[in-house]
Amino acid sequence: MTTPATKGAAENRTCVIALGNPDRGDDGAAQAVIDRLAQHSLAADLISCQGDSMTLLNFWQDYARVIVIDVLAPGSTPGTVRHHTVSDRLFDDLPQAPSSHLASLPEAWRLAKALDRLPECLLLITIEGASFSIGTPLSPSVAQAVPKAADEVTRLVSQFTGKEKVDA
Amino acid sequence: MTTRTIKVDYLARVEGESSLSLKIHNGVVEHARLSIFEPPRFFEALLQGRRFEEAPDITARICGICPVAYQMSAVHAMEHAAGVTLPAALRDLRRLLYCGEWIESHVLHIHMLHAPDFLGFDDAIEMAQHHRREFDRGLRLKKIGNEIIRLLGGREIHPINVKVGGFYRVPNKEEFEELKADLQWAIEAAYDVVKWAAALPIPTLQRSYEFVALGGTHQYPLNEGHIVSSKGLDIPATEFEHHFEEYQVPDSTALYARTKAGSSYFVGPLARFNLNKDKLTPLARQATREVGLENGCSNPFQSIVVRSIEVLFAFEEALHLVEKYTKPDRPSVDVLPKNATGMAATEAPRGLLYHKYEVDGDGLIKTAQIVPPTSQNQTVIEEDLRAVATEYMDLPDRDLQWRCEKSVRNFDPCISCSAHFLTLNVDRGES
Repeated sequence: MTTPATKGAAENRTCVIALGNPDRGDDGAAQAVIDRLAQHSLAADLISCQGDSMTLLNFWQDYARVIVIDVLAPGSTPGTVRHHTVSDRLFDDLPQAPSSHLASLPEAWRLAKALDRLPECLLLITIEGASFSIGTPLSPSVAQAVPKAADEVTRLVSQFTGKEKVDA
Repeated sequence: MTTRTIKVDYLARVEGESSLSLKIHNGVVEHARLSIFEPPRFFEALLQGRRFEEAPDITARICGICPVAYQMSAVHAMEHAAGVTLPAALRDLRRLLYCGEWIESHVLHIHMLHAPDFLGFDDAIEMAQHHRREFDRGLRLKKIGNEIIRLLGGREIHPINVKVGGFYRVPNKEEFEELKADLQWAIEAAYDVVKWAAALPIPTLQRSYEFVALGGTHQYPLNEGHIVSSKGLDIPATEFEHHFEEYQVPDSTALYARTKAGSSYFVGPLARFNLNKDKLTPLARQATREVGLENGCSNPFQSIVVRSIEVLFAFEEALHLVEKYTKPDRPSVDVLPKNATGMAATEAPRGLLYHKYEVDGDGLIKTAQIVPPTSQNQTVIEEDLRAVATEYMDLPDRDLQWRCEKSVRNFDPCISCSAHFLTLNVDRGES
């Protein structure tokens, strides 16, 4: 996985952050998305954040544009992929449930806002999960959502940068 | 006759889910119970039939905040069963890894979970808006702790580089170069955190405790030592069950623990500090004197100060270990299974963590027993709650509730660990 670039170089770049524990069933879907993205040369740094949402603050201040991929608690349609612009209202609208992460994404966002560490543009790709049991693979509906989420990330990155892939 | 009831359905700023019931009748605290309703996690059963080498990777999943602690107690117990001792260089690397975990866990607790209590904020976000410089400093300190874990553990959460016998890979000396500059900054910053924490408006509570921690070596304890107590106990980890026992209570999925004599005991930073403060690193000892704790500390509300002293110690110790580091010839020693029982205790950020495994001759785990620090502190947490409620029962319900929550947060409980959020019900019996 790409390690973040130095601060100066990253300030005009984009990163994609996978949030979630790959050992907990569908919580690993975000990692599966960036594993898929890593097979192609995307014009963005790919970062894994496996449970400590507080580390997001360190990445957010170093990039101009950030896409976070996270998995939501089960609702009515597991496997649903959605794209959101992060705001206070977003977290009110999303299903409320205890976070599986050390600090929740909304907490990390609100803290980053309080500390003036938000990137210029912060987007959230969510995949609705079905099962988060320890040691289990992705559930079928979520596994099918992985390429859709990867395609959405690719589309967004291309909008940011004007190109999907880095030059050879 | 009057009885009073206060309800907190979900205790904030602790790791996990719990509730508290408090009944005050005619000015007497009749009942104080911390109930853990986090679902039991059955790790001890899950380990049965698995290979002994898998223990560190499986037990690491018990907790996302202190996975290193579980890995360390697991590998030490397995090596004890196998009759293996690691060379000093690998033991030093384990010590360095543990420093990283203490740093990230303690710094998170100090800044995100506990300091808001003393400054009158409902949460860390509100506090961050008014104490931004301190918060930024805390985040940077935590980041360095995470980096230590990543360097040695392979990743920040649930490290993957720890194995029975040592590590899968050990760093080259050059990999520590960037960390050195961070550690030098961090030592100065951590000293400032001690002074900041000591200046917080901290309530007083003086009770008599039996403190229990590792000790008996020349170092401030992390991975090694005897189990010692403030009442004169000094035993190897193999005798843990001769002196301590777990038991079940209704309304709680977590086990409690007590001495064989039936009394509570107190593990964690206050215990380690009181039993080992003379072995702190130089600046940590200096900071201890500067904040007036050179004679020890038995006010649990001052645990935030003691945690900050341990953060300073961990940074000093980490720099010392990094500066003296020479890459070992081998990342691990060979460990062959034996039909044996292994026991070990190490110092998780929250206190003594005991593991015991029976392993058969083929290397399969027959039984596992894990006694986390928060389980061991359950009784003393409730005793403190009773004392706090008695001391402050004239406060209005909301203020009493907050004081009780603050009291629980003194222990930085990891309820997820102990369940193999606080709902405060105070029944004052108003009639």
